[in-house]
Amino acid sequence: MKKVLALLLASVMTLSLVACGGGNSGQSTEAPQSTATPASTAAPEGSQEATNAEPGAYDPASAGDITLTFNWWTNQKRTEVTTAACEYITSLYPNVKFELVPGSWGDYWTQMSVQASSNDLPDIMQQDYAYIAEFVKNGYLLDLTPYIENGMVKVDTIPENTLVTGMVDGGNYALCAGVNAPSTLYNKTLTDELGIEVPDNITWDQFVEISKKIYDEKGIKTLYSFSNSENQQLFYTRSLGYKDFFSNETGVTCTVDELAVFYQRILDGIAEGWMLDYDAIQANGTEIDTHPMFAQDLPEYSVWNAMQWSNQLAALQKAASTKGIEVGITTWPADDVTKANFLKSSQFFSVTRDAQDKDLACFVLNLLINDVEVNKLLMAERGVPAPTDVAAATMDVVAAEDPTYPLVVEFLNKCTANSSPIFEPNPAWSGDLRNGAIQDTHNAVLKTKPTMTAQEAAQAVVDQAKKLADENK
Amino acid sequence: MRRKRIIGTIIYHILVAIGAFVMIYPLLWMVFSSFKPTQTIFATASQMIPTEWTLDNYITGWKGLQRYTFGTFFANSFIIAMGATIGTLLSSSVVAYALQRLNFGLKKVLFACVLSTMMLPAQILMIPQYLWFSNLGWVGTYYPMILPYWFAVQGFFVYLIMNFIGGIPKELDEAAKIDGCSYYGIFARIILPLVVPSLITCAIFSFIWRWDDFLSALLYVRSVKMYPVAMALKTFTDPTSSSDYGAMFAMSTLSLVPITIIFLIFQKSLVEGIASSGIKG
Repeated sequence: MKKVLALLLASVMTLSLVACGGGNSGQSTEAPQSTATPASTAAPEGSQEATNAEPGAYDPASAGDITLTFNWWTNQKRTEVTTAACEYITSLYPNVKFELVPGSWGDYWTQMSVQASSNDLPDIMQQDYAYIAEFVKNGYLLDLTPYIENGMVKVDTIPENTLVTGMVDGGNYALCAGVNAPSTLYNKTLTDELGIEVPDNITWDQFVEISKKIYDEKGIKTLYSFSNSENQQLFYTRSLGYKDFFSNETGVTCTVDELAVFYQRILDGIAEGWMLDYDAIQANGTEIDTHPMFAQDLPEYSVWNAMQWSNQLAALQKAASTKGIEVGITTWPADDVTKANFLKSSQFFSVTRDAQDKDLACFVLNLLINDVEVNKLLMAERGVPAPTDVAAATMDVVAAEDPTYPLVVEFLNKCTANSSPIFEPNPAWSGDLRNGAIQDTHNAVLKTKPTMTAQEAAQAVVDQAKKLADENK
Repeated sequence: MRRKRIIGTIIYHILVAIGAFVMIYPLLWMVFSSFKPTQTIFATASQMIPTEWTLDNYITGWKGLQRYTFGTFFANSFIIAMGATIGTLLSSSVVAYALQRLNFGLKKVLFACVLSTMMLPAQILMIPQYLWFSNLGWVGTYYPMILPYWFAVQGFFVYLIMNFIGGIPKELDEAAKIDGCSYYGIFARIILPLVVPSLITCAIFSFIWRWDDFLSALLYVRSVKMYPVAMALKTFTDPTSSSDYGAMFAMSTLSLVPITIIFLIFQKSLVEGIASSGIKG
């Protein structure tokens, strides 16, 4: 009997120690706190929390020992920084452990849809702008609005234009994990050598002029629009004053004649020789490591620019450095860049419907977005942090590791001043158009002997889009 | 005449060697690339032999993901491949024996069922299987990747062993029966020792297929610590960012080692198994 009592007492004491330690560290985001610090006598469990309570305060220790699953698509750097950040969170809140599951982009979405079908989504998942609407429609994501209202998830330093990108029908389903903007990354070593100044907010005419000059002097070509991506069609359409390229009503927003101008530009570029044709793109691909920008020993396959996103500058510069190339950054070309340009979330974090402890998941989500120390560990790998105060506070640490970072931040600041609200999330049928008419027309006009006129290409895209939109009404 | 034949042989061997080299070139390219410094791999893609040899890729690659080294992933792959292979061998040989030697009702129908599993693409079964395993609560475990193979689900192996058993003279069975063997005794004492070559063939194929199996790992494995090699390798690449191809090639090369060793050891039995089952079947 004595033994049992002793055991009982011992376990009560240990329990209360853990509870105190956890409760205490819950208020601080500074240094990891030892669970043993407030080891006074066996204080009643409630007291510690009561003294620390403030409106909206949440004590993660109340969740007990828990392992949160966190899935994201990854590259090696992202795996490292995210693991470090989550280990740091565990060191702050020892009862919160993580099951981290990085995967590659394509497999990630297979995995997530499979897990969704068996009600087995992770607690926290990385999200993409293209998928949010679909996931919300299926009820897979948690609406964060109540947690924003009670102060558990802070969004007051996130710019309005960024915050709305994670909203669907008035609900907040995803928070921006890093800001991004479309960017033309270019071989600055080459343009400097030729005495070319690549301007900010580059217009189409300037872009053509530079491309021609480089082609005339070096035989090096230009990459513009290709493959099953509508990015440049979108950018062109936006420069005309439309907000979107896709439309659920009419298929695409612009008219056939307007879109024909876009295709005529490609046909002209191919005819004049400065634009890289389909066969050359196919032969080399456009993956970062083997980008045709680095194929200078083969001028007919090489280009001076890459149509990418600002968070890819670091990776491209890393690959470029092995060739002794410095990479510059400007916007995608358009007649009116301010109308066309937009800021995008490179990716989001969401709490899912299947989260075991939704309060705790939101608490951790808030740390990932707003905590300065956590973001110092995340190294802005996903893009510049969305909350302006966090972006400023992490600047030096990230810049020390990644020399291109100040350039990206400066570029994004310029974009903020020179951009319009982002387009609506793509409709579900957009993938069919992308793999259908968009790809076919690109393949047809990017040939030295084109098989379509600009008018035909534009008509083909408009027709298929209309058909798809009608079918999906 | 003799000279002519020698010249013919030489030409034949040169052509075959060229063909073999073309076939194996991608593999050699990967192996040699894994010894190049990672940033020079694509810059020097046209040149196979590295100018500068390094083991860095193996060292960084072995570190793996999070705190799990590739040692963990190799162990996982071994557990899956061995578990499934042992199950396949046991169950397939029993089923093959029954279908070949015993007489029972619906034998023809059951045989047709076995054959039809060979003709059905695995992708068709994927969704119903997933739902089933999910309801059983097996998702996130290795059960879906091991246990089904203990029920002779691969018709190919059953068929292979059946043909092989067909080549064993029935007189041996009868002799054993006269000496007092039951059906089980015949199987264990007569059939099993004689079908070893075909079992080895099955073992090699099964092991290689399970070792390379990426899709079921993608569907059923939920944590990094349970990743098999195929899945861990995939996380090295990201087309939208820079990937550590050096480390990926290094680990891909290592992942070929177990299969190659198994193949080399059992190669003789493999050829024998295929050849004799082909002739006698």
